[in-house]
Amino acid sequence: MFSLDMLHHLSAGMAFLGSGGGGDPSLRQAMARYHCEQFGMPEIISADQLQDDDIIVPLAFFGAPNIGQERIASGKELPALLHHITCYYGKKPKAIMPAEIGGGNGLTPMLIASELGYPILNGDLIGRAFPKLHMAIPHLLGINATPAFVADIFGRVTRFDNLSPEELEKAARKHVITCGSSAAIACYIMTGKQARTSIAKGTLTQAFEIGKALSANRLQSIITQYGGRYCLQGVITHIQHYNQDGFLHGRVTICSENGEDAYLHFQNEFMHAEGSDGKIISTSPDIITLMDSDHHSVITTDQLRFGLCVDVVTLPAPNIWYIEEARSMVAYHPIKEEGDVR
Amino acid sequence: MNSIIGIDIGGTHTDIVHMHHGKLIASLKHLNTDAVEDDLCDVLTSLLSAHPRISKSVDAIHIGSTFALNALLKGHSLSQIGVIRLAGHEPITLPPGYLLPSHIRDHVVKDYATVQGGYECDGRVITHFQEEEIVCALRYFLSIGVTSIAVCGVFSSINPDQEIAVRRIIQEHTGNKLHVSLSHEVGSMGFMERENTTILNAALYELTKKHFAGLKKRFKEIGFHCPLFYTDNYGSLITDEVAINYPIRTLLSGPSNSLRGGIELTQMEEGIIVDIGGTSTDIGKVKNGQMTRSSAKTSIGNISLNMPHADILSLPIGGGSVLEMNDTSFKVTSESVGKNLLECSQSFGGKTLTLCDLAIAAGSIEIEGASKILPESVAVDGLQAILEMILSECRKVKGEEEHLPILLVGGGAALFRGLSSDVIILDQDEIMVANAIGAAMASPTYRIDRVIDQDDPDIIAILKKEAINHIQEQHQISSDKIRLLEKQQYSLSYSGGKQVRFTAIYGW
Repeated sequence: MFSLDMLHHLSAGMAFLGSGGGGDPSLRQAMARYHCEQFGMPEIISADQLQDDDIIVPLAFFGAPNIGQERIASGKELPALLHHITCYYGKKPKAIMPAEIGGGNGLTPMLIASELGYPILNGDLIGRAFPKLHMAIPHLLGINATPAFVADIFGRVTRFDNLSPEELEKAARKHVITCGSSAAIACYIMTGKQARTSIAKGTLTQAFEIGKALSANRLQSIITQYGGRYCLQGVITHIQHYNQDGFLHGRVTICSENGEDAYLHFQNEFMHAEGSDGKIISTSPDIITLMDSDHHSVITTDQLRFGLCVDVVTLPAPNIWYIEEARSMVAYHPIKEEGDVR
Repeated sequence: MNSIIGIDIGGTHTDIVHMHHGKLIASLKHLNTDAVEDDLCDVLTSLLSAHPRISKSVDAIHIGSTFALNALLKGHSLSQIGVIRLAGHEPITLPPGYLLPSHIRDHVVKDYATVQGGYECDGRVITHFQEEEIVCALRYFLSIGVTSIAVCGVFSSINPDQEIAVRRIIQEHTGNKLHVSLSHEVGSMGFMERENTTILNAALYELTKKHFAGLKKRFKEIGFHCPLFYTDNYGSLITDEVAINYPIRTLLSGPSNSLRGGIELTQMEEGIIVDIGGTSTDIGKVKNGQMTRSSAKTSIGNISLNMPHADILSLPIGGGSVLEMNDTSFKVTSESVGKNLLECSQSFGGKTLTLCDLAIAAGSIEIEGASKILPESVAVDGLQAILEMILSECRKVKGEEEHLPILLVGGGAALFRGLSSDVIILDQDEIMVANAIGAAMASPTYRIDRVIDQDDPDIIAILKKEAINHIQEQHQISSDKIRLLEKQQYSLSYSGGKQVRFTAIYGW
């Protein structure tokens, strides 16, 4: 379905769906390319091809994204997870999939699929990027996050049992610090039957289509195809950062062509866009993406720069994120501004 | 320093200036040959014969060099290197040099060894460092003909001890014969980019040494006994020893020298300097009389690196830029006729339409033998549109500081004379040798980039002392002149707030 020279489209589309978060996919893209050069391209399958009792394993790296830029993944993490899961269930999983399509994690299964012979399920658990483990579609549909498995860089695996998704988020987050703040995780392991109804389907294809359109400078066609909205064009005139709970928070001011300011609030991802009059332009769970107008590339929250000319575009997240229970889970909450820290 | 000779080795010319108490006394331009050492000696000899009393009074010679950059882009004569990765988790997800262009990856990196070691973000070791492994790797590298070694350890910016130990071991075993490049000395956070930077440094070392190590002696023979310095990626001075050991630090000295030259010529405290050359335009921001710097990733000829550098935006627009004409509007292409301007341009009977042709037709410049090939009004409109492109890039560099003045320097600045009241264009002839003036006026700095514990009350004082000692030792400057030029703290989201990345630049 995908060839090696399409990886960069896939990666660009994943950055787009990251809503400014999920980390810069460029390093992960290089790793995926290196893996596929050695072992070939993975098979991509759709949820309809699954048997009811198949085991499907969502995979992701989690922790602090900047750690992976310095202490790069060893390559032992994902095989260790799959080995333990196979032992635990007594049979080999049918497919693996990205837990999160947005940002670098969208490519995570491609670091291992071809070598170990797993097809990749075309879909993910979110349909975008969110910073916490419990912010996932299967959680909204009552699927357990545990048993969950976490592997460190040496391939040492820890299992978490009988925890709610919120409890897993806390426990795994605490554990990952002992792993040097970055590790691989498999959670919301589900059956083929569950996967047919409980994931964001086709998001690999979506990411690829978006990336391909971006490279041809067809932003408008993405907006039309996925029911999105072009919000504004402007220049970044101010960036504020504040640190809270170890997450990168802040606000970026964009002065639009007609001289009016718009504000984008970010908490790892872009969460909320509003006009200077406080009128909401777009808010989570909408995917809010900032594009470099000159280079037609996605700008993540850690690549913000003064003076960049940007387009603000939003795409809707998968429908399920707009039901009341889901909305309140991922809604934007303003935090007290503590001033600039950098 | 009262009396300085500044030299800029460019792509086509080597420029030399003699500055006395900040005033330009003499300048020369020299057409390059293939031998960089001879060019340098020739240009010095020419200066000396024109001004015979100079040599006795010169305090130092400063060289800005694009030699390393050109060597890298050409890819010839680079060393065969071995890479040592201090990474106890033994990553196989990406091999060293994977992201480098293939001519470097395949022909420069002979092989690599992953050894125990590296650090976690909280300072713990990933695994314990083992001396025998280094000896073993060294033996292997020597057996396959490696002549230069690059060492990159995980989080060596937090703790450089292991990298330093590797160098010691290799030097003990080879009697200082094998050169060792350490990643914490050349790059910052981001393992793959820092490893690339280290690999390129190792690849450039022998070539740089071959051409530059004997210079001091040759300068002495001509009559210059003064110390020799080079300018680095952000226009600071480094000793000739540092420049030879870390050629990667001189990679971007060209644009930073011209920016520094612009600052000196105008005494600018705050503003935007635009250096318009024959093939490119470099834009930089000046604050407190200094150019702004960046540690963000930078890309040179498709190579992603993460060394600190002057924050300069380069555009492919220059006097020799080839234009496409549609009705009465013009499009700047990425092509340039470069030094063949006088043969290729239409104003001189050539076939190519260049930016220079527009300026001649518009009457901004007059060159003997040139004819106007377009109606003046069309040319003026075309020039104005191109200037507007440059100015719109300048506005990005300005950010919120819209009040900053924009100053045009460089050989191409005159093309835009009289077109806009938003820019200042200098009239002095010195503009032509701004690079060499920038090199002459460069001063030493020391850059700190460490992850530190915020709760440690003494650490900043210790680092400050380290910086001052370093500058004093290498440049013989009294400590009361050295001051803090720039300081930044970045929170690290993984550390729970205790650890911060601290960067500072000391200088004078």
